[in-house]
Amino acid sequence: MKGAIRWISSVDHKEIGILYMVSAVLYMVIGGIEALLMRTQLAVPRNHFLVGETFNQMMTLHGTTMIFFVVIPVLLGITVYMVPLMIGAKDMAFPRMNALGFWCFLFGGILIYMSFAFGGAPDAGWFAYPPLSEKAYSFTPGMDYWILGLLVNGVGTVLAGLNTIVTVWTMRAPGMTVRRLPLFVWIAVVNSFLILFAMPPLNAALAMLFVDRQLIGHFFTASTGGSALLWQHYFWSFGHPEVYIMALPAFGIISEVIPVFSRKPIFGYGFMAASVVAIAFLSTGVWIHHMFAVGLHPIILFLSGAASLLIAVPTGVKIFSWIATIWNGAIRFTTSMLFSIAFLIQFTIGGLSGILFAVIPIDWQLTDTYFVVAHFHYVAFGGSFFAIMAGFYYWYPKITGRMLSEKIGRWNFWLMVLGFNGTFFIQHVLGAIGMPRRVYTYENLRYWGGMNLVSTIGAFILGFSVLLFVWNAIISYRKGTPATNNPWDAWTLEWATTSPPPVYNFDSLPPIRSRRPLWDLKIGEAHE
Amino acid sequence: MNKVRLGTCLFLCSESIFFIFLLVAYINFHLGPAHGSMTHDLDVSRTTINTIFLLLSSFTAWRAHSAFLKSQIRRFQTWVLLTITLGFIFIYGQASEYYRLFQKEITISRDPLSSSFFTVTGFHGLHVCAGALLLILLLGWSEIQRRSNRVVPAGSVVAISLYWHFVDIVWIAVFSIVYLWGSR
Repeated sequence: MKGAIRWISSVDHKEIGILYMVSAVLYMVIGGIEALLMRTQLAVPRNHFLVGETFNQMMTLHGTTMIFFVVIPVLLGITVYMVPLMIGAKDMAFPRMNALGFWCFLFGGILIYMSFAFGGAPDAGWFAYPPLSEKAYSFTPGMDYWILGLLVNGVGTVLAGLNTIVTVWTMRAPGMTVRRLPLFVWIAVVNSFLILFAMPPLNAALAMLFVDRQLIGHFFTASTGGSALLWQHYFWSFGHPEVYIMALPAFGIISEVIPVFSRKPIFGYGFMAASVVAIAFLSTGVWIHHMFAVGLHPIILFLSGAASLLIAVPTGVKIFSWIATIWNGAIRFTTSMLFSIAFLIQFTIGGLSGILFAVIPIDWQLTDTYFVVAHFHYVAFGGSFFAIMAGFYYWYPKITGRMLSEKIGRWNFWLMVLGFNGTFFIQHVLGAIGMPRRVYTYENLRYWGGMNLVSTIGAFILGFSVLLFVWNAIISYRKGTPATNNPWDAWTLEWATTSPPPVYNFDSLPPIRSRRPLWDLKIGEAHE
Repeated sequence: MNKVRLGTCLFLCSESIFFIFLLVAYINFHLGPAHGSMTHDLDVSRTTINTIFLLLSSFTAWRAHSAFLKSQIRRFQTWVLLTITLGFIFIYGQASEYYRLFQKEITISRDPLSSSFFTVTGFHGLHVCAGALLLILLLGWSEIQRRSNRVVPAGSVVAISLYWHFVDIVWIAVFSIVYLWGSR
């Protein structure tokens, strides 16, 4: 089948994975432009470049786009592409459902962006607190498009999670026991359970907000007996697991890349697998740490703070295991490995700023300041996004049959490190000295202008590095070195077929008697 | 474990959580200061009868699945038709309950408790309608297949049956909380 029709009607998991990833990149460019517009406005105090409601729309769309339409879809795309290959299957359990999931994601985003043409984009922030998000204060249809777009997108996400679980449960090749699963696959399964659990609270909250806005309901309007706090509880019951849904697959990618480029199996596979379950489990119980400043009872604050501190333990186990994997390994500093190492450092910084927030008095000082912005960008961008980059540089040869240019890759990497840290490190300072988040301008206080300018310059360097990546992807597709089956000498099943794989994935599978089937094939004996 | 069964169960677990959150909102507003509480206006006895119809429809859905497993397609279709009918009776009963409440000026915009009452029961009703539609499509499709000497895939019957039972179980929860506990 030719061209567009083939892509529109495809139910092949590899093509759907590519559709997810390419669409996510397009949304990323849009979300990135929104960020640069904001940073331009904030470069100097009392600027007039982009103010008021327009700024708020950018702020809302940037967050909504990056979370729902960039990071999650790209991770879903990598998941649906790689999971069947890694377990030796021909496709996902439900190929058509897989396609439906993609189209829900694409159209959910389009629905939200359509709001520009129909009266105004959403502008109440990506978590849309009432009463601001209620009709009285957000009277353009923007919020309604936001609600509907997220509902549609949410359907796709749930279906993708469901599909992943059923695929791994029922379609593993003979010999691929659960304990031999690549960590990326195991983490994808745990993550999918988290998706199934986390999306419903969001759907409930969105439905209730829609009732409030369109049918004059009273769920969240305090003036008529409703509870604005109810929204916060519901939204964060979704929102906190959501950020782990962004982190877990990133952990999975790192767990694949680091061993290969250290020439060592992952340290502590069992602990890695168990810690992911612990993280997923704990993440469902800490939503209140997004609400420490709303006046809850001290006992609730204490328990939630303690639970939030606790998450650092399994996360720390993972960081130590990755470091132990690299330790004494024969390290190959490919671009993918560079991104992984940067991930370790940056995610740890983000984690440290995160557990600071678990200490209630510190949270009371820093909440709603730029310290929060710094924190979540360190984990979501410096963490998840850098892991995604590691994954791209690792799996691009498998997906396209071409090697990415390591030369452009080096420039991409270092400029991204410079740009990312330049943008966000200084925001820790800005937050600590009191700059609030979500403001479109600020007074000419001492050093505030200078620091914001540094951040803006960093942002443009970061933007350029992203363009470099896109350039690398495009030019390598045309002129890159053709890739062999297993250019990195890796060990999991996706490397046991051609690059790119044939439609049916495998001509034949190697015997699966351990976690590293291709290693066994090379060495000729089974390891356990 | 069978793919379709596992997939459907996972989906239904997710949907259950959705209903749990809607019910929690209801409970939250019920426990709060009552706003001319509409709970006294609920017709518990009529809704109990309505509930029995829905429970019966689960029984007929179960019989339908059993008949399908024994390849008794005609019998399967009869039980499906009965399930659809009972489902429609339930929907009619819910609609008349809504109508009765509207007559008393109890609408979704009256107060928070009313908002959550209509949202919970409304979403349940929508799920019943979706289930009824699926059953109608299943019936039609099985008839088309029967005339060409074929059968619908077992997966469809499993998925739709499980969904219908789920809709019933959700109603038991909603009825218990809203009508039994809520109207005391």
